[in-house]
Amino acid sequence: MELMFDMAVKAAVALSDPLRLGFLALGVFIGLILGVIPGLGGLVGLSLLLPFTFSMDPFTALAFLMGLSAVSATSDTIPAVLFGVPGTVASAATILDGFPMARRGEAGRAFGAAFTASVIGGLFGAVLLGISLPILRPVMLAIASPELLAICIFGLSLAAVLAGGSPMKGLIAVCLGLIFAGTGEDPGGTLRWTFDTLYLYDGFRIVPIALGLFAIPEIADMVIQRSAIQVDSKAKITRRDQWLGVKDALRHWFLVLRCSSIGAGLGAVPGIGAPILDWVAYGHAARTEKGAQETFGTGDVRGVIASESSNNAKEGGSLVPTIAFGVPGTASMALILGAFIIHGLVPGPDMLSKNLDVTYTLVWSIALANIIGAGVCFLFANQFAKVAVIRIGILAPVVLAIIFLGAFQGKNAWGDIYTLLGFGLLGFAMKRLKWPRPPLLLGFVLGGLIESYLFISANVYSWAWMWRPVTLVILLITLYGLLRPLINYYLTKRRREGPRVPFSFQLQTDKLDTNAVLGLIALAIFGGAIWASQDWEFRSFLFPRAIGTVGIAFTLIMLTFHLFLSPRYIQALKGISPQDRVQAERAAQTGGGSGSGSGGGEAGDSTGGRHLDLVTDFGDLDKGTIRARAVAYFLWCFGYFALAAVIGLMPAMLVFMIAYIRLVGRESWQMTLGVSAGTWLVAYGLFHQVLHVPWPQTAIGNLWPVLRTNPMFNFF
Amino acid sequence: MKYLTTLGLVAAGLMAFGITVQPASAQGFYAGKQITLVVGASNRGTYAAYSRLLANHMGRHIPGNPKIVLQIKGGSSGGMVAANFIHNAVPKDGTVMGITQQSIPVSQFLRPGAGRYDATKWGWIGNVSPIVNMVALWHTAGAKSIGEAKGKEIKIGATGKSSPTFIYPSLLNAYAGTKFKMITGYNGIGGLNKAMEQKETEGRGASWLSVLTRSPQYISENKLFPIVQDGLKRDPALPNTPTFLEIAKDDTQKGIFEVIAIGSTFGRSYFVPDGVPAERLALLRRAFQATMKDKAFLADMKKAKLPVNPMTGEELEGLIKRVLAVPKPIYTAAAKAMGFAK
Repeated sequence: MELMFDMAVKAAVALSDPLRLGFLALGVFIGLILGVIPGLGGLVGLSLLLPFTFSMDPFTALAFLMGLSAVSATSDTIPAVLFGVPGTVASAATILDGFPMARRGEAGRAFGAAFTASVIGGLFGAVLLGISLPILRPVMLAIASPELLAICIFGLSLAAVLAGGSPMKGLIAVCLGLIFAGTGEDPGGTLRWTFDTLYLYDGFRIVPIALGLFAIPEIADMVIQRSAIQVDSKAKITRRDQWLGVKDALRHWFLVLRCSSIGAGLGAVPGIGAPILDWVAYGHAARTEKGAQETFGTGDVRGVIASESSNNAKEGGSLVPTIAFGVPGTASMALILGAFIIHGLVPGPDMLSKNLDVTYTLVWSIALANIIGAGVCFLFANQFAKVAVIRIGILAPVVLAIIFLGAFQGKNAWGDIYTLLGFGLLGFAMKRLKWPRPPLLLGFVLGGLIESYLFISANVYSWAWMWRPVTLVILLITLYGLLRPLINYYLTKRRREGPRVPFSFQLQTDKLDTNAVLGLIALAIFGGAIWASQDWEFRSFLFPRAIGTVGIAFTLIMLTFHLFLSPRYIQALKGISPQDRVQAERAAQTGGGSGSGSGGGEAGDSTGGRHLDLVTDFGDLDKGTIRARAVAYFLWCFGYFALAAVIGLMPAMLVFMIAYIRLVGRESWQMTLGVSAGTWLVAYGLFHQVLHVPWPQTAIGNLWPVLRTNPMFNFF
Repeated sequence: MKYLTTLGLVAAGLMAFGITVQPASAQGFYAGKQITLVVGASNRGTYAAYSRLLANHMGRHIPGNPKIVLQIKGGSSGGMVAANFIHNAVPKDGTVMGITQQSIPVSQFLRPGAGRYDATKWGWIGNVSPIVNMVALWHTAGAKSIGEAKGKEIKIGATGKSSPTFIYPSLLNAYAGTKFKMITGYNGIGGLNKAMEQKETEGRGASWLSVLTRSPQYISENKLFPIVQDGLKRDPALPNTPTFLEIAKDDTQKGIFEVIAIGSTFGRSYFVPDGVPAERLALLRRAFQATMKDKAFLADMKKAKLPVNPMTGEELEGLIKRVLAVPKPIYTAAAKAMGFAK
């Protein structure tokens, strides 16, 4: 204990050196910038700056790197709230409530709440790490593969919460996510669904998928509406708004603490990390907070608080397995681990005894970085928030152009852009048809882990894996979480038995709509996935076939309900009385008829909770206009892509912005060229000169390889 | 109009900048140029670590002092992607060099048709160090050598079937009478180490370097015992552990083990694509050799605990000749033993 205290003080003294503090602040500054840009994040910064730390002493190097890594989850809130585009994958859940707040003119409040939640979460993670150091290794040793499997299953079960009022569609989305996760070479050596494409050998990357699912549809909706983000452009963001947000976060301190512990805890589970812990925290809040089922997803500040407190707390958590065993908790941690090794630090017992002062440097760095990072964000949030009133004709092409570059950070290959656009279309369809998207992301992140841990557990412990005490407890909690809504359903159903709706089973011809088409596509994906697995060996086919079969079952149930049962019967089945229905309809009317395909029995459902995903209200736009504008938008996206394949991503970016701002935005030439050139030069400086992004091969580059020789302009 | 003027000024400035960084070629080809070093592995592992340190120091030894920047082609498919990319799609003027997974030159013959490259035509610059793979048993396994392990069911952790962590123990199962039970799906070296400490598994493969850098206490505390290593001769760091070649029982086995040993001998080797002018390759080779003796480079490598046992480009050419000399049936048998062919 005394040693711990001494070492903590020693580390604090070492870190208080002005030079080290300066590097920490520099790291924070870089981390904040990278966090704001969609697709970039701490990981990119770490791999870029790692070489510069070789010549530093370990304290300075780690302060610099931790500073950078700890704050990208603070600033990634800014694009999430302002555009509905996640700055890093860690802030995807922030969008659900942060973005509607910005549209209402409450961006300042959302920022205030988010930054406060971030800094508390970050400090919580650091403190937890700091005080748990002595018991770290024994605790981690108790968490073997079966426990990890149980934790992952628990995470997956939250998809049921995140599916909100559309349980079947949510389950189908989970299965789709699990199937996408299985793509690529599996531990059994089989190439699953790679279609002989080298890109797919090691599977999909999360960055283009997250940007595709969430960012592309959000921009699409803004383009279709042709409005700035903030509906009332006169509302100004003031310090008072931010202060309001701070008070929100402090008032919900217990929620902040709960979500921080979720973030720190799940951050310590290798492989889970940033992409889903914000969703888990969000799902937890949606299940436990009062009235959350009604207000989450419409701009409830508690949703922002839940997501943001969890994603900053992860940093402390993910250091745990890194320090204790050299098992990096996240991809960023793998690079921090690389820095350990470069500086001759060996993860394991040494970090908790001989090198405890280095470990405490990490703890202090996380704490300080979070304070500095949130402070800077508070200072500049007002400036950022002005973006919300920019005309969409300018904003959309700029954000879109950067998203393309950001998605390309997945694997630096054309496949990233295909993935972005493919999932962009899927995300757009899902959003319009009210299929919840978060479960898909959850399935994608957890699929590979669950499969690996399941086989390891079964091979090592056979069935006994389930009876290990910790595993059993987690599994029982999961089961209770899943069954609770069903129990509640039966309890409330008896109480609110309304007039019986006659059962009728006949094809509802008006339901042969896009919802049915999406269902058929899902069916084709599951069927195709199973069909392709026929030559695989047992270890490779077991999981895909199980998922595929379950997916087919869910899709068939969904389609049957959708096509053959009357909406009234479905609602009666869900326990909604005619009175409820009238109320729901009235609410829908006052809220403006949202969307066209609100689909079958899913609307206005009160037992399963409301739809936990963004819904755009297109006001009085008619269907034809919406469709035409959506088609035009995607044509622009694919046009950008096609042009990039010929002349390169960077040159195409410039052409795309100029063409779009001039032709669609109808801006003056000065504005068009000024904005395009300015954005392009910043992107050039960052992506080409600083990050040295290896641009993909293009048609003209293949024709004239000489174009690739000049390092200033080798975009081809 | 103001915007246009500004834009014009910026463009002019950029052009001026472009001109100043490209002075006349008086100082030779590389003056003012930049060399791209393509890395066919993830940015976390030792391929990237070796490459970063090499890039930091090698530029100094090339006339004109070009800057060397890394281009990571990551992921488990990175090795193949980088090989295909460098072979087919980069300028062949010496401004692009690369490193790919050590198994790539041999893999061309083990899995014919899998890639679109021909490593035998590449211009080899040099090798910082061969990286020896091994199989080691945890102290709870109750065996410290192949002999003691024979016939016992010992659980060995592995990442995936195409990884050396799976292939090497499987070779022992096939040829040395061991009965290792392979558990795949672990996440990297850290995951394999943790599984042994949790007594989920009782041994692992991968490089000996990964033990030296990540968990040297396993050696000092007598917790992990290497039972076999690959490579053409015993590694100086593992003087008492037999090589695969030493335990071969017949010529076919010897041939198969040799194929595998050659792969790991390529270690951390750098190359330029076919078609780079000979004098530039010679320049790069000289610079590489000079870097291997550079005190600052060696100090950095020592700090990072990365071994330096350099081989020249000429020696690597000799190694390629050995790759070509292996008879085809041996490749077929080796591919089968390693699980590449059905």
